[in-house]
Amino acid sequence: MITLTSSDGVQFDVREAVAKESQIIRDMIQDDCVITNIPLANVNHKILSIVLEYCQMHVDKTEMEVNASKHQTTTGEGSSSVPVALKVSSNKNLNDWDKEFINVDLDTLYDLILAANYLNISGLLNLTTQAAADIIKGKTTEEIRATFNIKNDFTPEEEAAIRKENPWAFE
Amino acid sequence: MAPGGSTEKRKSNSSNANVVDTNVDYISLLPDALLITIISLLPAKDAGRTTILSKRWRPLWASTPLNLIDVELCDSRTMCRYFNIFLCTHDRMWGVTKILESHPGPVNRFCLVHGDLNFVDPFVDNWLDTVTKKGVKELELRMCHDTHPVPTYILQCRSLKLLTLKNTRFPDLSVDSPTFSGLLELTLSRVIITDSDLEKLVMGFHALRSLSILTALPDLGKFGGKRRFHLRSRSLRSFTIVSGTVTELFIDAPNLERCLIEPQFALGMSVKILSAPQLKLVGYLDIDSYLSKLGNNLRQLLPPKVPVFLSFGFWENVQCLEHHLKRVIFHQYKDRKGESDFARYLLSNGKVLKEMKFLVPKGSNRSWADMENKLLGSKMAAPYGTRIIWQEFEDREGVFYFYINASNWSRVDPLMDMNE
Repeated sequence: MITLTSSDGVQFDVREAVAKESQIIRDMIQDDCVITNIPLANVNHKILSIVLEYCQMHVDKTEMEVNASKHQTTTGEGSSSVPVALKVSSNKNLNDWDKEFINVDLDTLYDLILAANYLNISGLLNLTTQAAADIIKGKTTEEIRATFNIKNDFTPEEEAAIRKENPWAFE
Repeated sequence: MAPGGSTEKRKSNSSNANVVDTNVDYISLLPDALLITIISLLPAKDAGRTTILSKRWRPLWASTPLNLIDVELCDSRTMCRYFNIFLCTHDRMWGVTKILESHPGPVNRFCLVHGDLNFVDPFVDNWLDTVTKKGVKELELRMCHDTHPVPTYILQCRSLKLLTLKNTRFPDLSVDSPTFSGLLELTLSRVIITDSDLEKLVMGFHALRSLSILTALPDLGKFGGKRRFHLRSRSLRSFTIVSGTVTELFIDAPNLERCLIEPQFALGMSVKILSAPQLKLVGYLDIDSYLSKLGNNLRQLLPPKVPVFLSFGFWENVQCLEHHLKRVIFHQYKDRKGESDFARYLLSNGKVLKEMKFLVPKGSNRSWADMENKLLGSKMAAPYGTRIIWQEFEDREGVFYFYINASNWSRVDPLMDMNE
């Protein structure tokens, strides 16, 4: 077990495999194999708990697959105790689970992007940045500004100049 | 800017005044690298439009490695549903040219997939010259006619990692034997190339890990001639080919892990695996055409502890059935005589067979219980406890995913997503 401490001092005890979904934690454990407590200065407890939920789910699914294939190869005759159906459908379930998981408000999404980047969890970073891109996709400039509260700090003249520069984007 | 636009903008600014004050613009606080990642995931037009959001966003697009797919520049209103193409030639040409002019690079991905252009068109040559100079990593070029050869500088482009070519021919490689780039994945579809040039091409890409030959080469079998492809590659890990593309296939690839043969045409193909000690997955073996010639080799080639996937076929005198074969998928199972006999044979001899899956075409009128009864007979259970799974299967999608996944190394098992 590894204890992760959030920026606001809340401790989370997690299995090493779950913590190691984060590349920086993986590196820390590799450099110092007796490390048991890792403070995370840039992630508060609310976001850390969401991040750990993601890591936990992805580790569980992967382990389930590995176990299933281990059983298939090591057990002799007779039926395996691991339900094969779970293995077969796990990819699909995980994608559905990710989709449901990332359905969060924009403030949380922003914090998750930063946390995934800081902790270097590539799957979560892909998922969160793709979610942000999906929100932008297909919207007009005004709609994007309204959605994210982006303040237009261009003068009308400046804006017209940009449109002229990249006309293919605005027709 | 039209007066209407600026009025609207002022209005929306004033009506949003409180909202803006109380709600922070979090996304703009993200570091450049993360905003650039987000922009790189957007289609071309959406990505270009981010330049006008605010001063914070203004320079980011130009710093984002460019992903440009020609059809993304087409207005969806110009979609001709009947032919499933966009009628927007001018907008598309003009857009691609403009974007390549104004974006400083690097170019990550460049795709001409509309299919109405040729290498001989001058602006196509200009675009390709630009993107290869701007370090393009992925190129997908679906051309109109196969009469024009692919430019040699594309094959030699050092930055290129992924190359997909459709409807083209290869320059004569026997005269000039260029050293190709460190390409990782090559996909050929309706491409004219001689047997010996295809072999040279594969050997020339010294780092190639995935090769897919997806539609029969157009000049094949036209004169009833035999085509022979001897696959020799030290780097190749995945090979996908449509059955009938060549008459004889020899495989000599020390690192090959996946060999997938798509039985799209009822054309025979003899497959001989001379050496492929890492082979883990071999697929769509067809009972009638070429299987018997594979048998004796495969016994040595299949390492233990691997799933094996096949449709229907031979498998007599093959030791892997007793010791190694873990998983069999019957694709498009219709309970024809050859199929059910073979399934029964595998069930009664596959000592370590854990799973047998039947993908039954959608709309089949046979009940799964009937077919299972017929398979297992009065014993009601497979002798070695094989788990039997029945699943409805829509064929078109399955073949599509098969293609996508076959060369996709992020999939541990390319069959996992099939029909799910």
